[in-house]
Amino acid sequence: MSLINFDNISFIYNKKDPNHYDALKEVSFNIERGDFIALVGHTGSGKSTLVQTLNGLLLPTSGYTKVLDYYVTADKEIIKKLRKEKGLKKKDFKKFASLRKEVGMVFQFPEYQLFSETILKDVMFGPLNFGMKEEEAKNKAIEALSEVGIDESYYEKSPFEISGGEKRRVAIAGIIASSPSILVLDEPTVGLDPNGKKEVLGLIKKIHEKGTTIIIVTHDMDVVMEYATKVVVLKDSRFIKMVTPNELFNSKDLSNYSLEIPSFYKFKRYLDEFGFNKDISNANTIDELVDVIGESYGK
Amino acid sequence: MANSNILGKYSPYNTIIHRLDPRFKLFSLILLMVVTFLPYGNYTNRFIVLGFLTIIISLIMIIGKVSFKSFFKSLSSMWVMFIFLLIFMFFLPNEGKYLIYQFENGYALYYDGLLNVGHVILRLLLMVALTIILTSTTLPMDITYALEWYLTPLRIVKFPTQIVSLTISLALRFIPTLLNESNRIMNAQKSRGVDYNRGFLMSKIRSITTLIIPLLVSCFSRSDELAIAMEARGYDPYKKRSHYKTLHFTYRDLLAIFFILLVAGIMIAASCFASYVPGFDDFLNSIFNIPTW
Amino acid sequence: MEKIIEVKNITFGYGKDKKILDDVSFYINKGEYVTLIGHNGSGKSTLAKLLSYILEPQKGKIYIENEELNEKSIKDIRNKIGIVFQNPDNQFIGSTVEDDIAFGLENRNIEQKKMREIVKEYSKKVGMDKFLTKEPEELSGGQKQRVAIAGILALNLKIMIFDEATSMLDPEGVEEIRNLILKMKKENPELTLISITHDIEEAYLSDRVIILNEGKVFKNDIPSNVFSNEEEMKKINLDIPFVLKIKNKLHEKGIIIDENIKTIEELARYICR
Repeated sequence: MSLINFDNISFIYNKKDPNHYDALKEVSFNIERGDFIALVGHTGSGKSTLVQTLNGLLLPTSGYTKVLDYYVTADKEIIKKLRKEKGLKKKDFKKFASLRKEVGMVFQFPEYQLFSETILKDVMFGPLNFGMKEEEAKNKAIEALSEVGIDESYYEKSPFEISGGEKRRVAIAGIIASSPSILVLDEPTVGLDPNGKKEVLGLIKKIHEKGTTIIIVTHDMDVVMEYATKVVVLKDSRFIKMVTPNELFNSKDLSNYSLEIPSFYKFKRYLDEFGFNKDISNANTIDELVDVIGESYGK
Repeated sequence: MANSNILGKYSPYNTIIHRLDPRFKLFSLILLMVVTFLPYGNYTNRFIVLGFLTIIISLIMIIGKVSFKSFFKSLSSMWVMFIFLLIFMFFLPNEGKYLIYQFENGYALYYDGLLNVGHVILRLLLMVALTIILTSTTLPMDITYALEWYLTPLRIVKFPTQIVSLTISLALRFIPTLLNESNRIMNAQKSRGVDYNRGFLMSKIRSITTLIIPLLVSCFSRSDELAIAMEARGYDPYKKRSHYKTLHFTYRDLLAIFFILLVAGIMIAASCFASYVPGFDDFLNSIFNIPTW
Repeated sequence: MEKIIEVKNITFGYGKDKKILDDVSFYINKGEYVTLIGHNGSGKSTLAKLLSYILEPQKGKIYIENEELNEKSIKDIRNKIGIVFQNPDNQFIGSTVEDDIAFGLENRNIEQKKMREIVKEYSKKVGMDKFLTKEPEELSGGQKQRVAIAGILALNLKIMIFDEATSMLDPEGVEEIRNLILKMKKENPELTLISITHDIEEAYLSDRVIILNEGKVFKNDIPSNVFSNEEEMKKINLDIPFVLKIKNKLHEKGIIIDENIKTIEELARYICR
């Protein structure tokens, strides 16, 4: 059984207004435990809306999102059907607190969620909300902080007096402290410099290796190439495909989705276009490609 | 967004109300607000006069395609106040003319309180309606221009009209930006287990702080950056600036002025003569004045 | 060549031991397109603020067209330098596109009729003439930055600074701004452009690259020289541009690629000849 199912979900903003807006149209696909999914597509393609159905911040106006055993939907027909078939109760569709404990969500510029007097308290906030005891929450917080590389000397500092990159790491610690089994990140590297970006991505990779399922919304194709196990492409509120990064970048229709193409694949594409005399389809790294080019020069 | 409609939002139609000069609209708003607060004598007269105003205002709302939905939406945040009014004006005063019920311990309820609550709530509704008419038919920037125009005479006493009007226009400009931001922060905190809907006073206050503090922090950093950007583009508060837009008064505005003055005139006249008109009050008196025992 | 900006022995820091810029000197020629790169904390954003006199250096001097930057000259110098900042929202001052483009003109007390013509002309130049009455909420990040650029172009300034102007945009927005910069350079070769950026690919296309590291000028040269030593770049945690990476690897194999080839397209074309 899949960890997450998107079952034919649509989402309409301002449903009753004449100028309503379809943010998602009949999206269906599954995510398995342990996946590292990159969700890509142009701005306004529905990526952010889609992930917000994962923890019930938005409820699909038709269809349902199923996460673990939780059904997320506002579709009355579906609710009726599920109640009949699965014997679910009305309140089973409103268990957002326990759902949100399982699905950690890191928004764009997460540093703007910090509010407590001390860093430790801020990281403990989530676990406490989800019903952990003070002592347990504290242990969890300390564990999460050391995971993101914030050491003990910071615990009693105010979250407002540390650097931007540190703030972002503290904010992420605040999410992982509740030990979610799914971690969703919406553009976690926007506005960071290359060093900060590497730090945050390295951190996400580490969390993934510990068994957390990762879903990352991003425009950055280098992230997709280097970290993701699968890529989901959305376009104009619709699901297009789910493929491996390599398949995505080697596919010919890539430019239809207004995605930025990594330099390496752009280069391969141009070589093909200009009629390069060797086969480069098997070259998957810069070194391999350079070797093929070398051969064509007779070296 | 749930709370983006509190003060109404500009809706881009092109009705006659939209095309009126914002200076005139601002003036009318204030005039009609003042008029609702004039004394109109007894309850009957009050309700007749305010009823008249209600009809006029509803007409303007219809002509200006002001959404009644956004009006009712903005009221949803006021019900707490209405309940307080009800408690203070109905249950607390232990006196009045028209008795409803006398408890054995001496405490009594009167119709006066109820009428009073109705009167105050109606006035509030009218004021909210007036504000929403202005905001949904006038661009925020135009309201600022109008405000600046009214403040112009104050320049003689060295009042910084330019600064004030720019400050207001910046505030208006950033309202949608900050609403988006607060939405994002709320989503982030909800994901950390905050429930903004449930809980009573203390836990509600606690959950609000998780929104307010981050919002303040972001406001400060935004205003910092904004100030730098303005300075870099050569803004000097004490230098004379020209205006990209100026307002023009047309015959339409003239007609509208006559209309509003007429309405206000009727109201003022009603207020002056109110005490001479025998009211419904005596009628109420004859029905409800049941002798106490 | 005529120097338009000269930075002489600038030092700046908060507190005593935290030097953000340490004895920095360089100059920029008229009409040059210079990129300034470096990590967060390298001092590059501070430098941008010093250049526009939002901050004041503790030691050293800055000259703009041979005029020393100080309290007195700043009003004059504001008419020479414009800055596009990082956050598209926080520099959108007007309530609509046209109001925002006009803001700088209003500050300079330009008369209304002329202002309308200028707004029209420059909104067209950045491709925003169809959006004049739109509010910022209805625009993408890239569009907002284009409005900011129009607002500066409209003032007819000599120097334009981009302070990480693309770091908060999506790839489309980045592309929009990159293309606009190249177009501006072509249309007005007199305009001096300084771009503070993390984008080494952009740096590779500029006339000159200045790398700041720990408050000091680490490199200051044409891009192909700056990025020539991959090891050295790695030491300060900077990558090198893709085209150069390929060129270097081919070089190791004894294949020499023409100096002037800078884009991926040109490189592929060259190899396929």
